[in-house]
Amino acid sequence: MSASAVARERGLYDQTLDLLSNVMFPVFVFAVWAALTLVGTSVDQNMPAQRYYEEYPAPMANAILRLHLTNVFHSWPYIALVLLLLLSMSVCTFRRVIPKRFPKDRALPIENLGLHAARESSLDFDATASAVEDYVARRGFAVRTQTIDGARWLFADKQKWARYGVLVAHVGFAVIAIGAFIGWLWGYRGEMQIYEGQTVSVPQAGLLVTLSHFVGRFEPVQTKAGVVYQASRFQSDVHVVGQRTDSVTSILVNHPFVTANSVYLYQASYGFGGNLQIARDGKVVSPSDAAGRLGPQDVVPLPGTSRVIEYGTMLGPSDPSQAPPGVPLPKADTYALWIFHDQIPTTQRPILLPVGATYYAGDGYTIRALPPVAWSGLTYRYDPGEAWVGVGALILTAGFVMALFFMPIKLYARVRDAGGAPVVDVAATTTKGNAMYEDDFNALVNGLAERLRAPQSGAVGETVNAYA
Amino acid sequence: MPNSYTQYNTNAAALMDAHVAAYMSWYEAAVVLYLIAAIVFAGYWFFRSWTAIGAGIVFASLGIVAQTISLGLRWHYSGHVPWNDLYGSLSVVSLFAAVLFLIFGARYRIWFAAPLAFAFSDALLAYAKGWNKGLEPLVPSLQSSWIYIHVPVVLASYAAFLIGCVLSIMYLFKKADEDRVARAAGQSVGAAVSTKTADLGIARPGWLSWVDALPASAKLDVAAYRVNSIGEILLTAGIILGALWAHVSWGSYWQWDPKETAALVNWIVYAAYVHLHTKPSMRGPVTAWVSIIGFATVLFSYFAVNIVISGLHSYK
Ligand code: HEM
Repeated sequence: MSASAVARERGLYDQTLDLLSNVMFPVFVFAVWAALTLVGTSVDQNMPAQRYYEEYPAPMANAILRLHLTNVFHSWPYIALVLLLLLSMSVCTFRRVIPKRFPKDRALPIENLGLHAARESSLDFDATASAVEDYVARRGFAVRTQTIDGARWLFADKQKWARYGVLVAHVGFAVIAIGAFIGWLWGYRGEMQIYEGQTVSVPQAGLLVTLSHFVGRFEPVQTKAGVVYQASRFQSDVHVVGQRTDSVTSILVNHPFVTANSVYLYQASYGFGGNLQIARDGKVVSPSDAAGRLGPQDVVPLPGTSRVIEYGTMLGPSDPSQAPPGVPLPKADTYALWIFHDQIPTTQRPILLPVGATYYAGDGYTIRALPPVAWSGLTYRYDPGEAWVGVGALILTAGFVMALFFMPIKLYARVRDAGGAPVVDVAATTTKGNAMYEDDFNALVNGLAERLRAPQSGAVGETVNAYA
Repeated sequence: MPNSYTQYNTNAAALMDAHVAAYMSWYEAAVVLYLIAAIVFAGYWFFRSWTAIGAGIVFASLGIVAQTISLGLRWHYSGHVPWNDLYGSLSVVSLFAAVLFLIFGARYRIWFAAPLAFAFSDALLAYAKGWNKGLEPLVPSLQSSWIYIHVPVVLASYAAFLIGCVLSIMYLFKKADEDRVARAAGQSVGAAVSTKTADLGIARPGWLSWVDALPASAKLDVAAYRVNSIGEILLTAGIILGALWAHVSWGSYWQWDPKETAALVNWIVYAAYVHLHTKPSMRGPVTAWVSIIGFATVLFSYFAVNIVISGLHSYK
């Protein structure tokens, strides 16, 4: 490679870093990110293609499908955007945020700073110098003085630590990302469906979970459309056995059970299995276990015949939330099912079978509805990164508070002999580029002028932010 | 055999009416009091009278008391926090906006923004009425102590953004006025602003005379920035609290449901805002518009998502 090519490449490298560390870069990425997130929020995600044609006019549905806007949040441009932001944030943290130093204590042309003022003092030179020092110190500044070229200089700062806010916020964001990564790498999660009385094992976690009882509670709520039943409690009474864990406990929504190995078990869903007792010529037969735990579309063949039962659903007091508003709830749990003979339904409408009732299914078979069997859907998960995320979240919030709420201020004051009365020049800056707010500055300077006029009056109350 | 899975409270409909009427009457009082407060505060714009501000504070405080009683009664009768649905949460946003405004007003001297701030938050409150569904049991997914902290923090951030948006709107009016004065005077902006507008004999529509009561646009920008920063701090904390709630209650931090992603949009817009604001060349109309757009996205996540797009979080 020739020398000029190396130089050109250097230039490109530096230019890239410059671009990544310019504040306008994240602003641009933020704008694109916000727009994509807005699209993902407005367009239903992860639906079958057909749904988009039902919901939107055809050209729009086409656009949504062709632009892959059906799964925005897991698409590679979206992930790339977040990674780009992290990259840019890291570059920026190393190139701009960390090297940014608080200004050194040195003489400088005060008039060139954005906020500056000069006031005459009616005290003598030394009294003026100590009055300025005292005044600034009383306002919570850390003060240092120097004599430079015959002038008395005062350097003061306040909330200097706040300049680390940006760094802290960016570090917090990175710690959260690490935690999420650890969880993604070593964590796991899954779901299980357990009927009352059943035991299910979770091999990953080495757990055996037995559901002894499920409780669902519903309250009637009067609405304009009629009474609806709103869930007020879902509770699984379980027995959990595993390494160092042997507990009989209840798991509720919002109140997971945590094993000794930090595996969480959550209440996620519930349902009721249809329960049919099948008899032939008065003698109970059990064609399959499934007859006692029927879910929608489950099929039970009746042995020795070409008849099958197809289970539909259950409506009733056990799960009133399924009832549409205004539709009266059956007094007893009722199963809706079909009986097929040679694949032809034997009835025009579904057969409604209340618990306790019996139905003649043909060929000597009777089916009797027994009370439904509840099942509970539990989610289990293990996340070794959660402590990182929690700590990162605290750091991020602390950084935001430091960076946005507090302002590091550097104050310069110079007492000089201007022939007659001593003159005090004051100027203020902050490292964040936000000039110390004008009002605070003016209030400070006015207070100082007062102090230089009336030495005995003591501390003068500070008026902050005297807006209109 | 009694069914062990259910429990009925057949009296719910009867219980509803008297208690709902009780908290709704305090609610109606608050709507009226805030409206009066907004009108009285506007007196300051036209008469520059501190009496207007004093009286406005009195009416606003009475509104806050009435609204607090209304929310307290709803809490008492329902047995759970009142911010579990759209009506309750809107009501809390407007309560926070009123309280925050009084605090900011005292701390940052932004009383001139009171008419607009109270008009906005009162409009939200009045609109909430249609979403009042009375007393309902708390759905299991909300039965958690996290609801005491996550929801109020997020709602407080919305209240801060409302005030930030109001200040940014005033910024744009003031800036336009300053620019016009500068053009008319044929001078630099700074010199023109320091000259009394009236002396220059510039024809400004009478209804705009109130912009004279506003401080310089640069100050309005600073005030908006402070309020929006506080909003962004609260929103950051609120989203994080929500993610932690989801993590310990449902098993994942983030499900990409519309309410979450909408909150993310709000957060991103205000993150862009604080970054933009670090650049002096962008401080001004640009940041003011971002602040206004930011509040528009807040309203979007509030209404569009709660009402139109349903998700895990839609508890209207
Ligand atoms: C998405 C995560 C990010 C968060 C949470 C975040 C947070 C913050 C906060 C709170 C501030 C203080 C703002 C102020 O003082 O007004 C800040 C400043 C800053 N951020 Fe970020 N930021 C993020 C991403 C980025 C990225 C990707 C860059 C890349 C260039 C960046 C560059 C900066 C710079 C340069 C400043 C300081 C500007 C200055 O003080 O002059 N940030 N950030």
